[in-house]
Amino acid sequence: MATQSADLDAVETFSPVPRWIASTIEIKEGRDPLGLQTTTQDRLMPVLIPGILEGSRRGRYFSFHAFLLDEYRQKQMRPDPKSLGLFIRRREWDLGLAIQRCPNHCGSGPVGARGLGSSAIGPGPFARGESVESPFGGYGLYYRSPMAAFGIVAKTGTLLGNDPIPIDVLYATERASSLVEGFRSAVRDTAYYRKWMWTEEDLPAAVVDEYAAVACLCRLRERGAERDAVHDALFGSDTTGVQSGIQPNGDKPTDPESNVTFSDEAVRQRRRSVAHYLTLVDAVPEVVNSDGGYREAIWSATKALNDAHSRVAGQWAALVAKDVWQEAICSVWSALCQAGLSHTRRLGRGLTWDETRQMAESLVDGAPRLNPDEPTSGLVSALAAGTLRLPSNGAPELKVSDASMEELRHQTAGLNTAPAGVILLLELARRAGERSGMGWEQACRAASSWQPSLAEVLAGLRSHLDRDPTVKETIWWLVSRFIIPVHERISYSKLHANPPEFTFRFRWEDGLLRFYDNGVGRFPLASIRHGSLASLTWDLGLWEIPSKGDRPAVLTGRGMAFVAETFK
Amino acid sequence: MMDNRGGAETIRPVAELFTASSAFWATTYSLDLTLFNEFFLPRLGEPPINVVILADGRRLDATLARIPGERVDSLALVNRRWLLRGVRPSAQAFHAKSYLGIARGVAPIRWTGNRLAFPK
Repeated sequence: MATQSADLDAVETFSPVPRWIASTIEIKEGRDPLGLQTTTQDRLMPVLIPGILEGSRRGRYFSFHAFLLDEYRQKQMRPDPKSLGLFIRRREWDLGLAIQRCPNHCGSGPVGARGLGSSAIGPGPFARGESVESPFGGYGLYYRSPMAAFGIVAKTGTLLGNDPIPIDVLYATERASSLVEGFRSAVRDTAYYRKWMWTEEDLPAAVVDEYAAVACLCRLRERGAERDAVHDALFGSDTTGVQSGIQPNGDKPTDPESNVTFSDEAVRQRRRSVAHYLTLVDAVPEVVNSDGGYREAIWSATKALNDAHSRVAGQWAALVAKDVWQEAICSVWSALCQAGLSHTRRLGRGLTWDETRQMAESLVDGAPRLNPDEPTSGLVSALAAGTLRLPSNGAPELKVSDASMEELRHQTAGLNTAPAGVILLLELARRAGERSGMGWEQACRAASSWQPSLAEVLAGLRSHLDRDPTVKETIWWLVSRFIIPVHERISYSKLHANPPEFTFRFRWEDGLLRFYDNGVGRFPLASIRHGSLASLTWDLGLWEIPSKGDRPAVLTGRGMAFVAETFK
Repeated sequence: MMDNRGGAETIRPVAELFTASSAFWATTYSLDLTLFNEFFLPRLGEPPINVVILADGRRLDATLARIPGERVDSLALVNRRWLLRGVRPSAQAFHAKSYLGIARGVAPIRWTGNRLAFPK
């Protein structure tokens, strides 16, 4: 007994006190519920235009950030990422003030514009601040990975000999030096650079205005040497190798975070994609300010200057085709979520497998209303004969065969119905059947971890049509293959995030498919670099807004030379 | 994992109970099999783990009967990676709700509470 008592005494005791239960799981709508945006973001864009992000819009930020990294090194400031991040965020704030007070009233948007708000208005002095709540500010969000991909920046963790470097530094190359000197030469004589950049005092208006006159983003075009340095950063290579000075043992540079690393092929691909973009600007100038015009120009571009151009044009056309497929399945998805939530609420429970199928098949009852028992081949024939029309909300009906791909995509998104999605997919398949070429086929084969490639989807559709399905069977084929199982798998994967995220719009629960009121709308297309291509090429002086006429853009001599040199 | 709400302490049962374990035993009335396989089980860590769940037999039969043939693969881990048994206490329902989690090297009874499913 004595031994037993001693054992009990050794057990740690506690007084149980009731506690409130707190949720472990965060409920979120989820941005990519069917895993289609990731095909664009993670598979296609890094291949088509490596190193250019949607947010890396302004050329001058490349020279500005190179300048900051060089100043940080020259002043021998603390070699830790936290201090470097703070240094960058504070100087980005200052530049933001200057951009907002640009004497040209150029209207450029600095990084951290939201935080700046109206800080730069008035007679000053202006309070100091930090640009963006992110470890490396706008540099980290939009310019760091590109500069690493360009072979300009060696990121934290890059090996110097056998040791990882503690902070980002510039490679010791002529391209990096030219970038630094380009910006430094612009600001060298300003009071900001000589004194205020190194203080935390409020900035007098005169100091900001003097800085703005030389440092605003819009000034890059007129600063030839700096502009050429930025151009060379994006499209050039180093004859001595990017590792000179940073990798004395001659190892290949390794980027610890990004899968986009410097390579000559990446430079060539970036050149080809930008040159292709310029040919689109030349043919359809509206691409610079119209997202729809940009997409349509990419899809319908026909005149290739050589094989390399044909290949890159095919890649970009396939990218647009993938987005058309996304819009088609998104229409079915949106209709399914709305109907499913309505059924769940009415029944007070989830749906059985058979009920789910019946509900999906009933989605044919949307604009344009289709006969559920009509063979899908009837729609295919009508599309081929040019007799099918898409209604629209208020606008005239669209004759499918005459409409551009972008008009069809836009109209389908507006209709937001399963029948419109089916018609768009069938028309995409018809038009895609006329496409071929290495670039087209390569990009069509890009799949995500969740969804098959466009090539597989179109091949699957052909097999499905070979079985002579009805329209309602085609809708069920889409729902049961590309929507229900995929969304569940994606949502379960989000439960393993930290903290776990609940992004289900529906899930099988106790043998029934239960729909959740967690958003029933469409999900957006991923960025395909419309904004960044337009502004970067403008900053580099590759096109301009003509002073006469109503064309929004015309290629400059530099732009034409760039195209000719790339596709010679 | 504890925080404070209005002066009273809070607890996050999922985070605290479903952590790397060598064993996990539970009794429950209803059981969301897919949720357990896809979410709770991976949180317990890599095999080998001794996982046993006893659920109400009638309720379990109804759950299994509703799973369509197209989704039978959602049962692949059951009675392979972990043990599931229906309990039929004569004419009554089996409503015992208790979870025993055995973390690596420690063996506290962690929790008694609601069922293994998302709240309705």
